[in-house]
Amino acid sequence: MKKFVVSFLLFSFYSVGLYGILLFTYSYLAPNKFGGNVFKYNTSFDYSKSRLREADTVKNVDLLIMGSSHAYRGYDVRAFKAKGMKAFNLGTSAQTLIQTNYLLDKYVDKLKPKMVIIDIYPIMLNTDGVESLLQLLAILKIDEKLKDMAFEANDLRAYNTLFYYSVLNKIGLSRNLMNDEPDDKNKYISGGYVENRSSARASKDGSEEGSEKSKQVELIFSLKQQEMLKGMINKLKARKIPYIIFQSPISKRMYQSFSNNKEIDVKLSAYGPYYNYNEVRFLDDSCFIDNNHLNYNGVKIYDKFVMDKINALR
Amino acid sequence: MLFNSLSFAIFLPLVFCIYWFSIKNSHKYQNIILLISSYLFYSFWDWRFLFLLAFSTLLDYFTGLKIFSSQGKWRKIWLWISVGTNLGFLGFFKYYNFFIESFSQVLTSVGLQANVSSLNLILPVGISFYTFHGLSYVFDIYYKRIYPTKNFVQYSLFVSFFPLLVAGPIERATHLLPQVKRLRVFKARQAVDGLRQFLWGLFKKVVIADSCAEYANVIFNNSGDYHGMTLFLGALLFTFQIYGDFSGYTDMALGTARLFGIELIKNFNYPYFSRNIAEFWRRWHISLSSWFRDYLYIPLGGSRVSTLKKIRNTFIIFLVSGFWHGANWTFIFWGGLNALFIVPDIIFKSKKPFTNVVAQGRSLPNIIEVFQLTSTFLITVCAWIFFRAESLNHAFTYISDMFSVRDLNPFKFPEIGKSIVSVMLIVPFIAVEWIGRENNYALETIGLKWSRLARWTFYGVIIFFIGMYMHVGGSEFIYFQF
Repeated sequence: MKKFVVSFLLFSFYSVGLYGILLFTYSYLAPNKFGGNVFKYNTSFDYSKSRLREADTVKNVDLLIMGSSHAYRGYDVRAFKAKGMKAFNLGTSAQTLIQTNYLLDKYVDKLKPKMVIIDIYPIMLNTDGVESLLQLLAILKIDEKLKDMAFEANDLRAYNTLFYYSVLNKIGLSRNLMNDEPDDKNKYISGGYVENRSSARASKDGSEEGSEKSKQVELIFSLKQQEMLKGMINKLKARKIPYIIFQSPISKRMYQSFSNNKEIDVKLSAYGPYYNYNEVRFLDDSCFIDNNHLNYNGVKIYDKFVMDKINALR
Repeated sequence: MLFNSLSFAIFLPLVFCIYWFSIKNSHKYQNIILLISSYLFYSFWDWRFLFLLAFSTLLDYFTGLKIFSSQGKWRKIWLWISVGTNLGFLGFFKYYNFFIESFSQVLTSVGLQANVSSLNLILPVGISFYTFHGLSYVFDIYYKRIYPTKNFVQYSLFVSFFPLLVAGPIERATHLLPQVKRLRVFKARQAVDGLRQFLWGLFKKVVIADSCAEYANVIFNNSGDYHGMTLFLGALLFTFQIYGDFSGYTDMALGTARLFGIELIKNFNYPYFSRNIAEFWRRWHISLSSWFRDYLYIPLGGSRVSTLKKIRNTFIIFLVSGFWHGANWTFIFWGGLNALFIVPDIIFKSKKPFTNVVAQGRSLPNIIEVFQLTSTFLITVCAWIFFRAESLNHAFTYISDMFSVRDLNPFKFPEIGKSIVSVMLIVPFIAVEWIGRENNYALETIGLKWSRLARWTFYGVIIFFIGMYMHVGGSEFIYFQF
């Protein structure tokens, strides 16, 4: 038995070491599509790297916008600039309130926003946020809070990616990673907005995604995310920064596939000023890229609504 | 609690340490520890069904003793009490809705108003497996193959030993009971072997099966959007998914049992290296096939009857076996189809069955063997379509579309993305299985003659592939639903 235990422990140490070496070497050398459970950020149509790098260079904004892809596709910083507001959009793909909370901590004192918009895509209220976390691990300098977030996620992809980028940063190779490359359809606008002028009407309508979404889905606001939102709001209140929570437009079909929109509205409105555009009116397909992301036409309509609400709060 | 879960990664070493370090020289305490652990393991799914498991155990223990001590017709009465009650529970939980719905459909089809309602029943995990454990025990006593055990703990452990509790293999009292009746002594070689088999099973499940499942599900769930080669790819991926899933589970179960000094029966013997369907069924889910052979096929007369009766018996066991898998006509049809594939062998009284390993003692098969292997494999792939499809209509449409070419591009595959490597890993996976096909499991002897460093590196590479390509948030084992 003693021999077995010793052998087992030795093998465990050896395999952990070997795992680390293979993970790093393979992930570094292998093409991205062979990445498996290591997220390798290369270039992306969501321009997260460009946005977060720009965030490091910006100071003192009037308006900070946070949230998922609905944020960086739904709030055009140029529209706010035209009204005399310097805005920065800190949305990242699949960002949940867990990552929003982290990014707020990281940037609030630097950006010193006079107002914050928290955009909520209700589907994200019950996701684990791993997708967004992996992006942050790959783009940002890994600090203790990011590490904690990876351990809290308790996901193999998060551990692998954390290890890979920690080593990469340590040996200084991360600087060689590519920047986001311009995409035909998605154009990065300084300030964090991603402009897309394609339309869901022009693409295949009644797509698989659409038909899938027509099934009834019950939205869940996880306790963890409720805590995060509460924590963020307390921080903003402590800094006397006004905030508004928005739910930006999605297609009528998708919105109506959620069985408990009212319940989510009640829960979110308990956190402060909250506006759900989908309860005001539905935009048609010409305003969307797909069934839940606004295109440039939709953004022009929606941002007027946002501006009105900001002015009302001022 | 799944074998590939974090909770099991904590549970297993804990039970291992308590089992080997706390108690020595007493098989009674070893059995009690394993029994408590098994009930704890089962309670992770749904503690309420522990009562059903306990009741089933108590029933078969008691009826086993009664069958043994009774004479004449009472022996049969006690047997039928056990069989009736066991199958009654199984039928209620597993087949109630199926019968009600089928009955309702029949009434509707003849123009009658059906006023029947189905129940929202939860299927107790492993009920098909532990019911069959218990039944084999009482049958063996009835046929005077074994003496009943008077020790309730030993019998309970035979039924509910956690590695085999939820998805088999379906053990026999003749094999497992003698092992729980004696003290298990720790053997390092057996434990190492267990760990190695567990590792291979884990690889099969989380890398091969779960990755194949991702694409097989996309193709099967949207089969109307695909055709030709894509549908064939879907069926092919499901073929590897179900093998990786179930044989992977079995390897993990056998490996876990070895860690406790217990050998379970072999359940898979490289079924995709079979030369005909009959051989496939001697190599696939062996514990279930042999159960039906011993307790259904042989009592019906087995092979020592006329050709016609032999065909009838074959159809009976395959149809029942299909129905055992689930309450759906697809499973029954799948069973019947497999029986149909075996019929030519029965009619033409084909020469002696293949009992050895293909290309034994050689590295590669010869041309005839290649033909036999390929044709058997393709037949199996087609049969699995019925097993996987949602309905018979879905299966027939799937097969019909598979042979159609609707446009000039027959290679329209779903987005494979980052998991392409996992699917590509099927190739080295088959190679390792081929190399190890003469062993109990593929990794059993591979690398044993290498230096320790080389061997450990080999296992380390498998662990790396698991960590790199395991499907995070992977599915449950397919056979849990049976």
